[in-house]
This record gives sequence, C-alpha cells and structure tokens, in this order.
Amino acid sequence: MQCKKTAFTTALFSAGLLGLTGCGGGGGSDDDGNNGGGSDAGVTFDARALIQKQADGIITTTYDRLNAEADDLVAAVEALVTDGATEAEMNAAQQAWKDARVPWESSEGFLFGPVDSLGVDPAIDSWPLNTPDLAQFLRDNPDATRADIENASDDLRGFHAMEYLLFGDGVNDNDKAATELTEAERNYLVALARAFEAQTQRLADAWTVDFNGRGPYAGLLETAGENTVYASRAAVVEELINGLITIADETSNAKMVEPFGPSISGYDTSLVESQYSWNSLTDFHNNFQSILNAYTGKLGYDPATDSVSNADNGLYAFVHAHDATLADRLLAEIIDAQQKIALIKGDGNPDTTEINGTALPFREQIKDPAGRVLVQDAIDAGNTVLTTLETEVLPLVPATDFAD
Amino acid sequence: MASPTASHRLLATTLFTALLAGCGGGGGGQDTDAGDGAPLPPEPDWARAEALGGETTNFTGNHSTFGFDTPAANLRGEALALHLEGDAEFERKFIRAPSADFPEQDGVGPVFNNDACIECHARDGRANYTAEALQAPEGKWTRLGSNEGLFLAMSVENGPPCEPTAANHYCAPETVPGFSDQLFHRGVYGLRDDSPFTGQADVYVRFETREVRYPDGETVTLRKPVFEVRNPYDSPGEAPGDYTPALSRLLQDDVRFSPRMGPPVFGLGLLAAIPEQDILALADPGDTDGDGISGRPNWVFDPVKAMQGDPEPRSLGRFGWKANTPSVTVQGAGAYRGDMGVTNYLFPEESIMGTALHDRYLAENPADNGSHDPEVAEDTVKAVMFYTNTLAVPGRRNVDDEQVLRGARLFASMDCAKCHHPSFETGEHPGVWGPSGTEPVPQVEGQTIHPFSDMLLHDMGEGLADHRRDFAATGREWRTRPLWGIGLTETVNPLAGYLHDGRARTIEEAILWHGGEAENAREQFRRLDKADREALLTFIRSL
Repeated sequence: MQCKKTAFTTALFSAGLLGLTGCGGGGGSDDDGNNGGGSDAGVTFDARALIQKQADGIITTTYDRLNAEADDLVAAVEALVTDGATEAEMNAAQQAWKDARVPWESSEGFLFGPVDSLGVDPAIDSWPLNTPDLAQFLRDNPDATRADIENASDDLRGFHAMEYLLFGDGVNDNDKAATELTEAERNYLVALARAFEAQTQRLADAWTVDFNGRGPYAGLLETAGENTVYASRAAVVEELINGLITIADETSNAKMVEPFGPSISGYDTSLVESQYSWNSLTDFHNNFQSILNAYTGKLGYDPATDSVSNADNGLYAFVHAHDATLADRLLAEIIDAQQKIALIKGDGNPDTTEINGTALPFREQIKDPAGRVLVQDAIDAGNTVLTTLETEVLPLVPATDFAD
Repeated sequence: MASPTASHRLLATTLFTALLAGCGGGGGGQDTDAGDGAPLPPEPDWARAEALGGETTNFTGNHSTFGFDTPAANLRGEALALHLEGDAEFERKFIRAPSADFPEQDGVGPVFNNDACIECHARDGRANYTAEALQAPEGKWTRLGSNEGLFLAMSVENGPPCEPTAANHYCAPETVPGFSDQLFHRGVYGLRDDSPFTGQADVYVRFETREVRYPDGETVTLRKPVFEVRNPYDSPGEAPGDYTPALSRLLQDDVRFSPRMGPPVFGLGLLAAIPEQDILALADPGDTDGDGISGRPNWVFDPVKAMQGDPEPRSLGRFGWKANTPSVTVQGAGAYRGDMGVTNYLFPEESIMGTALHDRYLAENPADNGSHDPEVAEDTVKAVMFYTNTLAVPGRRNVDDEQVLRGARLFASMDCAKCHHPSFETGEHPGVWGPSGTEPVPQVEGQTIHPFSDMLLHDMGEGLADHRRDFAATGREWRTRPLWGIGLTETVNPLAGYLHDGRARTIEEAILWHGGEAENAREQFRRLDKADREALLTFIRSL
C-alpha cells in the first residue's frame, strides 16, 4: 500500500494517518485504486462491478458479436461465388455487410487497447478507398486470395472495399444487382471478407483469450492496480469516459461536420462515411448507441422500452454516485442526440427521409437546405453530450475515492 | 484537474517530507544505496514534480490510453482550433496521387513506410512490431507489411572520417546510390510488377534473446531485433548471401542500416523551446569532469535556414533518435516526404527522385509527374506541426508514494540524472516556419519543465550501436530519450517497446541495455537489491 495522495484539503490528515500506516512497509502497489488525483467531494465509488460489466458485458460482447457477424458475412459472400449470384444472395450479402457494421460502429465508444495495437482499425475501416487502384487490382488479380488482401494497402481492403463492391458507387443508388458483379469482384469479395474475419477474430480473442501473452485484455481492466497497463480502477473509469468523449466528438465534429462543411456551398460528399451503401446515418446512430450501451450498462439499450438503474453498472451509476440530476440529464442528452440523427433518417426508412418529396441519404441531406437544418440539429445535440462528458463527468474521476 | 498551486505544493511537500522522515526510508528499508553502501542523497527538488510540462500538462487523461493525445492544457480559442485541425490531419490517410475523388488526400508514395502520421505514432505514442512478429517463434523471419511503425535509416560509409562543412551538409548521411537515405519497404500498387506493394526492398525481422542475471540470482531475458533486407528493386528476389559479391547496390558491405521505431510526439514544443545555451552548458564532450559521461551536441543541416538563404545552415540537433533533426518543423515535414512520400513546401521532391525506380514509375504513371506538388498544403503541414508542438505532457501519478520517492533518490544517486537531466526553464519557441509566415507557439514558452533529458548525444555502448554516422553522432551515440510520460507507455500501447528499435519490452530491459557512458549506472542498478530495483522502476513509471 502506498502513501495515499489526496487533494490539499484532505492531504494533511490523509498523509498523517494513511501515510504513516503505509510507510513502514515501503510497498508501492496502488491497491486502493486511487488515481492520485485527490478527492474533495467525499464520494466513494467501488468500480469493480462497473468495470467487469463494461469489459465483459459491453466490450467483449460487442466484439464477439462483430466476429459472429463477420462469419455470417463470409458465408454470405461465399454464396455469391459457389453457384452464381442470385439477387436474393446479393441482398443477403448486402444485409450481412450492414449487420456487421452495427457492432463495429457500436464499438467506437471504446476504441482503445487491442483494436489500436493490433492495427485492426486501419485494416478493416480505412478511408478513403482507392477505387482506381481497386479496378486495376481486379484486372490483374481475378482470383485474389486472403493472402493478397493481407499484403495489400489499407485503401484496397476492409469494410469500404466490400461496401463498394456490394452496393456500387452510391452516387445514384445503393442497390447494385447481382448481375453487375463480375467474377473477379466476387472472388475479391470473398478474399476481403475472409481477411476481415481474421481481423475480427484476432480482436475478439485479444479481449477474451489472450493479448500477446498478457491474458485477455478484459482481464487487464478487471485487475487494474495489479498490472502495468492500468495502474488503478480510476484509470479504467477515466479510460471509459474518454472513450465516450472520443466518439461523441468524432461523430459530431468529424463524421457529420467535415462533409457538412461551413455552408451549403461548402459540403464535401467525398468525406461521407459509408457513402456507397447509404448507411451513414445508421453508422452515426450506432455510434451514439455505443455511448448509450456503456452509459446505461445495457447492451442494445432502447429508451422506448428500457429503464436505467445503478445496478446495471453503466457509467450512469458512477455519475449518479456524484450527482443524480446530472446522471439523468446526460442520459436524456444522449438519447436526444440519437433521436436527432433518427430525425434525419426519417421514420421507418433507415438512411432516407422525405424532404421535398425525395428520399435522401446523408450524402444528399448535406446538399439540401431542409436536410442541413436537421443535420445541424444533430451536430448540436452531439456536442451537448460532448460538453457534458468533458466538463462535468470527466472531472468527477479525480474527485472520487475508488477505495475497495 | 488543475495542478496544485505552488504555495499549496510547497506546504504539502514540507509536511510530507516531515512525515516521511519518520518512515524509515521505506522501499528497501535501508537509507543507503545498495550498490555501493553510500548514503542516498536527500530528496531531489524534482522528486514530487507533477506538472512535468508546466502549464501545458495534461491532468485529464494521464492515467489511461489518452495520456499522450491531449491538447496542452493552456491552449485556448484559435490556438486550440489550430491544434484540433492538426489533430485531424495527423490521422488522415493518404492514397496515391493523383486522385480525382480525394485530391486533398492523395500523394502517398510512390515509395513509403506508412500512409498516415498516426500509424507510426500510435495514439501519439510509441509504435510497435506487429503481433505476428512479436509472437513468431524465436528466429523466424517476419516481413514488414503495412501499418509498420518502424523503418530502416540507411547510408553509405566507405570513406575517411567526415569533416563537417556546409557543402556536405555537416556530415549528413550519404545516400545509397539509386536508393535514398531511408529504406522504403512499401510501394503503391503497380510500382513493381514483380512484387506488388513492395517498395525499394522487403525488410524482414526476427528476434534474438539472451539472459541477464542479477547478483541475487534473478534473471531477465533481453530481446533484440535482427533485420534482413531482401528483394531489392535493382535485383529482384536477391537476399544477402545469394551472390558474392552481392548484385544489388543495397546489399553491398558499405551500406549501413539503422532501425528507427516511431517515438511519442507529445511535449515536442517544450523541448524546442529549451534555450540552446542551457543544453550546451550540459555538454562535456571531453569528459573534463572525469565522471565517464560526455554529452555532445549534434550539429545538423537545417533545411529551413537553407531555404531562408543562411550561408551556414546549421543548427543544434534536438529531435530524432540521434538528435539528427533541428526542429519539429523539419522533423514533421521530413516525415511527410520521407515516411509517407508526401511532398511539401520544405521537401518538394520525392525522396527517390532521379533513381531508376522513380524514373520507371514516372514512365508508367505519367499522371503522377509532380505537377500537383507539393502534395500537402503549407497550412496543413503547419497545422500538424502546431499540433505536435502543443500535445500535452501527461501529469505524473503517485508522486508522494514512498517507493516512488525512494526511487527518485536512487535515480539521483546512480548518475541517471546526469544524462536524464530533470529540469529546464523554456525560453522562446522558434515557431512553425513556412514560406507564407511563421506560426508562433507561445504556449510552451516560459515553462518550468521536467523532461529528464539533456538533449545531448552519449555513447551507449556496443549493445545498442548501429555503426552508422548521423551528422556528428557516431555509430555508438544516441540522444538521451526524455523520460516524461514513459510510465504510461504500456497503458497507451501495450505492444510498444522502448529504445530506438523497440527491442525492450519493459523499462527494466531498457535499463539493462544501457552501456558505454551509462554502463556504470546500469551496473549500479544491477547491484541493487530487488526492492530498490523495483523502487527505481516505480519512480520511472510515475513519470
């Protein structure tokens, strides 16, 4: 046990009592989970159950689902090759791609650890796609294999390469027909999907089986204070909150804002995520679903049917320990941001809405005056979430005693 | 979280010190240096410093993987906006040029090592070998692919010792004829029909290990990467030993290679703002004080000065593993052109301009003829350079921990601090220069900082030597690595390694690789009992 660091107001007593108690042993492990940031609010929070829920119930479950969807995607595109592609098989493959997209975008609230270190993100979700080189590669390699994909550059593989081949260029439609697929494209799709599945398997294994000899990465979060990656449970809570901040910022201030541009004459559709499939708004929706999942502690939380309690071990419980009003307000803000994205989509018709009598995907909404109003509302709502997380929630970490 | 005020910290320090005086020293339990029995020095004045980067220090992400990628805490308004703009550009992926669809993102290659800044500086921290390489059985070769955070610097050395002049760019490494001064292992699609996506050559790596034993019997396994260059473009398929003499120019005996792993990029503006005379004051090239530690400045060619017409375009080297780069601007613009093949205002020509490989590429790809160069705009480069100048140093953790404090005293007693110089006061920052003007970086000026580096070159012994001259740096010299933030390395990227080639998996391994001028300090560390070894490591992990 170390001599505990606390804020100045409590330092005199803490150092005198806890410090002297601990000094005789001269040890140094941070077994009380305190981050050294001090506590001036007198709030004690046992984060063990929360961390276990986030690591096992949210993160690893999401990655396991991604891996399962990747398996389905492989099977769906293999069906395009085995006996010639039917329209039903094409539709199934397109849907399989969208299904895989759900857990991936729902994982972006925790883009830390193996997904970074293993290089999974650039290997499966790189942008932009290099369509001229892709066309040339297909001409040169009509029988591409997974090994070819793994040797290729990021701009020729991953989600968006599969998206382009499955949905077309997305300029006028997103319903490429099976008859439009060449044999080389079908082979390339299979190779892409197999390489993709290999990445999702590595990612899932890293969290649940072993991460380069350190045991499962989830275990590093759960044994914070006992390993050299996470020195305390406070560090894990800081990690989780910063993860939510990152995706709130990314979705609101990059994914939506960059293509949106400063004005209707300044949009840039080349920057739209998932533009070929017109899946952009579903991606954004699931980005905020990742925040909802972690915050509520309920995977797939649906505000229409689900309630929230501290027993669910979401970050809501941590905020609630400090300020119940803030905890509820933030939940409402996240729901509002997601609903504002849904308003862009339009009821019952994902990725399109009725503006001026025309169904428009996000890449068209940003060109449309009425659509831009809706997009701006969603951007503003996302930034409200971001501000609350940054200015009101993150500062709670050093103001917490994470003692056992 | 704000750092404590100076008055609070002073009072708290006094009280803590008084309390700790009754603790019997903690740690190893003896108030002596276990290495030679001499008393430990009193607690150094930097032992409890938390705000290692002064007012720029990050206290909001300094326990997690966000430890290195947070803006300087004192950024406001337009400066913060510029930092965030640079942040987005730092992550931007480049594709080959020209691209009609993505003109702002084209320009990678035709040869390169990676396609985005962030890929070599994972979360703004150290890069790592791939899991495939790390998990391969000992001795098994793994080929470097995409997303590698490492490259081989290279040059030819076959003449007499170099005398620095403006004409020879102050002994700049000599380019390998037909290649360059850096081995680009990746190429755009179509560069080489014989080997898609290979650049100038393939690079393979394997690891060797050996054991080091402490006097108490405990052992540590040290790991070292070994590299092999194969399949060069001027002799496709050739590997070392295939021919005597080798056919490829790249495989001749006079070519020196030096692996360079992507380092962290936070705190760079603060290092740039350390007054030159304060660094030079620490130099002792002839070891006149007889302590076995020299400390030499590297004087390097400065492309900014050259572009400004300075007849003596030479500056103190501050950045890079051998202090071979004078400024953040030169380092960053050089990485754009070198590591990614993206030309810019400071380096407007491709690295391989004039080589047979480039000539052949241009003949087959006439559209990428340089007519749209530079491939990245001046404002973009400057935003990224402002970003790397203003990334916050993470605040320290556990500064009042007994073991940490004992480790600090050991650090001071074992001469570690003679090279890992704890503290500086920053002065004027040179700004981010571009032809259209200089972007000031006032946020890093006038700060009390604790980088734990003297910014000088030291002979680190044969074990770390690369046998390759880099301006004034010999093949055994390396610049003292700043230790600030090092304790978060495993958190930010658990696969990252330490030292220039990422060989050391732990801080302990890194210490045990120290040799040359640091051999004495290493041996003192080796002679410590286990408790004191752990105390020293705990102190370093608190940084």
